[in-house]
Amino acid sequence: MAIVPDSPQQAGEYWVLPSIEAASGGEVRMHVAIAVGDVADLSDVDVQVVVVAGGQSLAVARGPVGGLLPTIQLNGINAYAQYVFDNPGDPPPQTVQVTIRGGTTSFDVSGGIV
Amino acid sequence: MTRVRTAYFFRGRKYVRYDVDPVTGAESVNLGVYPRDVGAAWTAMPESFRTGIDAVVSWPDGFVYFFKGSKYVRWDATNDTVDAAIYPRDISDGWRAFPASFAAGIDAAINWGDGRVFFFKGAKYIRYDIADDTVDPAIYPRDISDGWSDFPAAFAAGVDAAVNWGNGSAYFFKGGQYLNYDIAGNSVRPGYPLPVTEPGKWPALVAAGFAGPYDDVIEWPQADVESATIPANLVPCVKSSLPTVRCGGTFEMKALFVDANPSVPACGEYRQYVRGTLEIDGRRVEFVLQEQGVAIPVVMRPRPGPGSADDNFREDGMTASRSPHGVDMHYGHRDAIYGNRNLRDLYVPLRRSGAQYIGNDIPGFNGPAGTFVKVDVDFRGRSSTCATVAPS
Repeated sequence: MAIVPDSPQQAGEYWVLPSIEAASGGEVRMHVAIAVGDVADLSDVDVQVVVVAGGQSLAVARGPVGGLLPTIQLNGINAYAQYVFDNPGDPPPQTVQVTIRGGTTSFDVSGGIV
Repeated sequence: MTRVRTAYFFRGRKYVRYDVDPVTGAESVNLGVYPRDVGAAWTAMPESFRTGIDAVVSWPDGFVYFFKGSKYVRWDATNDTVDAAIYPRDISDGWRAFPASFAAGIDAAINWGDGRVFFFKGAKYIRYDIADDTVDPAIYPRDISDGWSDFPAAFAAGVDAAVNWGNGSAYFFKGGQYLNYDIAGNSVRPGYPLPVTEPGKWPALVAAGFAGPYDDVIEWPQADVESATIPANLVPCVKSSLPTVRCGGTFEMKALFVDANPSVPACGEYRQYVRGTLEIDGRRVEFVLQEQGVAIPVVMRPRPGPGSADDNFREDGMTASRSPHGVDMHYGHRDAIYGNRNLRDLYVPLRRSGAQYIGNDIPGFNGPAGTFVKVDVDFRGRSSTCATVAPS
């Protein structure tokens, strides 16, 4: 059960797809899959994620560890930035904004957990 | 599995698709469909060629050349397309080795299957060397009666159509008559010429009311899978620690395509698809895939539940936006822009026409030590074959 937008979007040169894995217990667990060209393409500092719930930007409780983002390679390669945000009162997430090296895109996630 | 072989007989604005079962030898024409207007099915054909052609011949790279008057069209049999920006084009521009009399137009053409193509015009013919793109001007044009000494007089005066049947026989047509030529024996088989209407010879054409004369005939290029080893040389998982911690496998994809002489299996292509689920430290993560020809990447799908109409396989591709070569990367597309420079995705000896496909996949994970990753993915390799220009 997760909130996964229908399609990736481009944040600058990168196709990205956020996925909210869970939103309960006062936190939002989510990750961003990023199509990259090399396993050493992105580090934690290259990616910023803002989750808005209840009209407020949530505070990051845990983010990627420092250094290169983990990657999974099939033909293409995806890098992963995993987060936990504090979400007191559990208002439903509304938007996720992903910024990678200055390129930004926003996703409407107000459809809820599906 | 060997597919039904297909030949096309052309006459004026009509054509007939002629199918030959490779196992039983049974020959058939769908009488409910054929004869049919060329323009109804050969939709990429320029208008001027839809009302009739002079000659057609296949080339050993998946292209088919149609000739009419002093023009020609190059048809891509791998996807049934013609580059409308270039064709029709003057024969004299594209076939520089042709003598002027042949550049003005030809009657028939046949690929002999050994690197040579014969073009006929009136009582003359020329021999075209495919590898060198040459015609020996010291010898050709030459009288048909000289080079094909056992041709009956009517055929030595000119042929309407010629086709390499792919089984050691070539057929030459003139009016309502034809010759059966033994390619290996370099001779007309005894008993010929015969009328196309001879009982038991071309019953399907007779039934279709298409017993000649013909503008030309062609045995269409196709590809059959001779062998496929997918995955080959599978290494399930190897862990390495330099320069980053990596755990992954490797496997190769090997396929061999064949076609009957004189064609080559340029239509045979490999494709790779994936589905499944991924986890990092117990958390499910998605994967962004790039499908061929789709503007927006897609998300890898999990295995479907029972009864699902969709098998959820999607093409295994890398997006152009960050790929090392600046283009979408997939396995097995012969027309891939990066071509054989991508050493993990090769057709040999040549990408356009090579019969052998060799791919190499290196799925795996890179990341910090101590990370737990679960990759539960199905790969599906699939071969595709020639497009067909008409309904069966």
